[in-house]
Amino acid sequence: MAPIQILKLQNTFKPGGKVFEVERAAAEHSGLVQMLLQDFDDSDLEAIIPISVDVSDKGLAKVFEWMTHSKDLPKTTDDGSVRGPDDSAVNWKPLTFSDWDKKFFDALDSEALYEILIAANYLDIKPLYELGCQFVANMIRGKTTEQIREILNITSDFNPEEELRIREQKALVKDESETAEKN
Amino acid sequence: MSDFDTYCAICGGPLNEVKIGSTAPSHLRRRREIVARKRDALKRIDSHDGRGSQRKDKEDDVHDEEHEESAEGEEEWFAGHEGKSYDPGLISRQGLAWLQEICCLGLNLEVNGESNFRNYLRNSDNPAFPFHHGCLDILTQVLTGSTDAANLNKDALYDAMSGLHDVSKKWPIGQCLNLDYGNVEGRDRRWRSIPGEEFSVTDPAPTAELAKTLRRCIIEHGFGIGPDSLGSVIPRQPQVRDPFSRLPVEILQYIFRFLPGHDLLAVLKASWIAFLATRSNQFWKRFLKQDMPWLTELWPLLEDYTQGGDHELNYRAQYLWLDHATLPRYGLDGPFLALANRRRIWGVCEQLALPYFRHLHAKPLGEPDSRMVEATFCRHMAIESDNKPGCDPSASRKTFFAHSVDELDSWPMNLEFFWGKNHRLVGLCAIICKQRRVFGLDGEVNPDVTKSALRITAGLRITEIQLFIETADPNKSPTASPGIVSLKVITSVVLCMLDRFYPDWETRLGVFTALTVSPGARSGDQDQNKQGPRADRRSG
Repeated sequence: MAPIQILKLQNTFKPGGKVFEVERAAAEHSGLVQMLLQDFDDSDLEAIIPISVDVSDKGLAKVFEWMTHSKDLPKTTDDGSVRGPDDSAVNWKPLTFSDWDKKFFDALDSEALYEILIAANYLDIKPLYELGCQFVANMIRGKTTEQIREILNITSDFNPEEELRIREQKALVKDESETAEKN
Repeated sequence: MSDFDTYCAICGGPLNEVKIGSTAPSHLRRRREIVARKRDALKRIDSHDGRGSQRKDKEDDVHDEEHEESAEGEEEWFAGHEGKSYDPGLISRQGLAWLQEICCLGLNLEVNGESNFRNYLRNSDNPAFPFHHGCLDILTQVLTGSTDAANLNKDALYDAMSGLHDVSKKWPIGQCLNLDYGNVEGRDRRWRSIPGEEFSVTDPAPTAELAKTLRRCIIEHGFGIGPDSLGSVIPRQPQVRDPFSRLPVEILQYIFRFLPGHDLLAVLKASWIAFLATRSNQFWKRFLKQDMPWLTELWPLLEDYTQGGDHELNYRAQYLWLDHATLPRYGLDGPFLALANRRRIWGVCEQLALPYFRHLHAKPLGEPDSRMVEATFCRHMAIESDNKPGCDPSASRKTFFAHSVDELDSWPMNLEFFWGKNHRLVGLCAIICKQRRVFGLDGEVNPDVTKSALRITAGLRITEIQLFIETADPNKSPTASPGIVSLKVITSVVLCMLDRFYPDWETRLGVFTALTVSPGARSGDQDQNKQGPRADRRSG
């Protein structure tokens, strides 16, 4: 049995970033790490791989936790998930959330969730990125404007008159559409 | 003949004639006035209630206007006929021909190979699902991206539809699937041709005429990109606290790809950051294609515009215009009834897509899970009917027909019973997602046995199996060399399913379905030897 290779990764975005030790099989979920490893000799594997992303160590730790748990999964998104032949021609793409994934995302606060999205985008971890984006979309789906504000904790200082003016700008198009509809 | 109409499983629309009103000018005018009044009233309700709560009660108030007297000199207005017929200016007899082109998806486990389709519907306890050819075309596009229905997996589709079929009722009483068919009220005991719902029976197929009309409307409308007026709308820097500000635009746009149009518009109203992130014309071009995959007429038009290079279209404005012009809603009377109906049916097909793909990619457990093993542990020794010398009691066989409780809720189970030449049960096989779990002889590999089969719908439980036992020699004791010559499987709806379909499930607890399997059709005298009721309770 081949020995497990451990990679060391450090976030250099801010000084003093923690050095994470991650199994190579897990780290290869990242397209960026895969690309870097192509230029590495075996002797280079002892070196620390620098990454630079505006995410806290806590957020990165969650990303590596997901990668380690999912190390045996296919490294691409071609896992039989539902999608049409033309990716742009379907608006339903229900990715499969395993029980573990559900628990993982449910336990995150919004700050950690957004950090994971930023890190997954930077590190090019497509399955995690897609799952995270769909998780956020699911939070919004089927909600009214007021409910979305409440869930996402959004506040703004638009007064009712300004809100109305923004909405009127949208409504303008709708009114025109009704005229065209009769043509 | 059934007391209920049966409706298309895909669009929920009628499979037979609908009523078209008279073309008398006074009738046309009157019908349109009623529809216009009701449409305006519904608009007011929607604008007050936001998402249309208590809409149904208020709609009932609106209906009262239909019962007005005819004015003097006008032709008699019969609310019972003209008030329940479609506007002849919107649909024609020729335009309704598609409703008569019907196909059906059925299952009869005892039919082998090629057979007349009636065999699939006759002598079968399983439901059959009828639908329009036109609806099947849309479903094929949604599920396979092609127009060839041969690419559909009929097993997966049947299983998906069965899972959405009310398990306590047999088709056609169930009438249609447990899906959201859109805001269409015509489906009742008999189809009601409600004026204002003409779109729901309009042929959704693409036509050259429809493409031409769409092109004309888009050209007339223009959709040019005007000066950015946003700065003048909010002449200051707004102060907002919005967690979305943490995310770059590309991530926000990727999140919005997972949202349907109305949810996107809601989030744009909720979040100023989201609104700003979606102001790129390219975003709306992509979103237009993503959110309106059913609008096949549009893509060639967009290509023409792109290649023409006269001016760039404002895709956001175009999306909002199309979204409104094709929204399936009461009183729709523009040129896009067909698009509205296609959009509605596409939405239903997308609901079907989830269970379809779940069944298509289903992989049940290869071995029973620990919960199932624990629940079925039996402390009693196996008893052999023929205690032949040298027989090893430990050689008794055990087969798990179900490997987990989840699979019983998720997938239907086909039960096959194999009968020997003496009409005795020699084998039993449960098939879940093509996985065969055999006990005894397998009829698939033994041509000398005959097969009978039944299907247990997902969510049903076998609560009882009654065995009918007969001895080989009637002169001997019934305990000597008994054989099972017939059996009855009794299934029951489990509470969780009842809870889902019937809020008043308590009143229906006594409902059960009995499925009898008997190759020799010998009953009567067998009741004397009835062994049971013996329950094979597969779940709690």
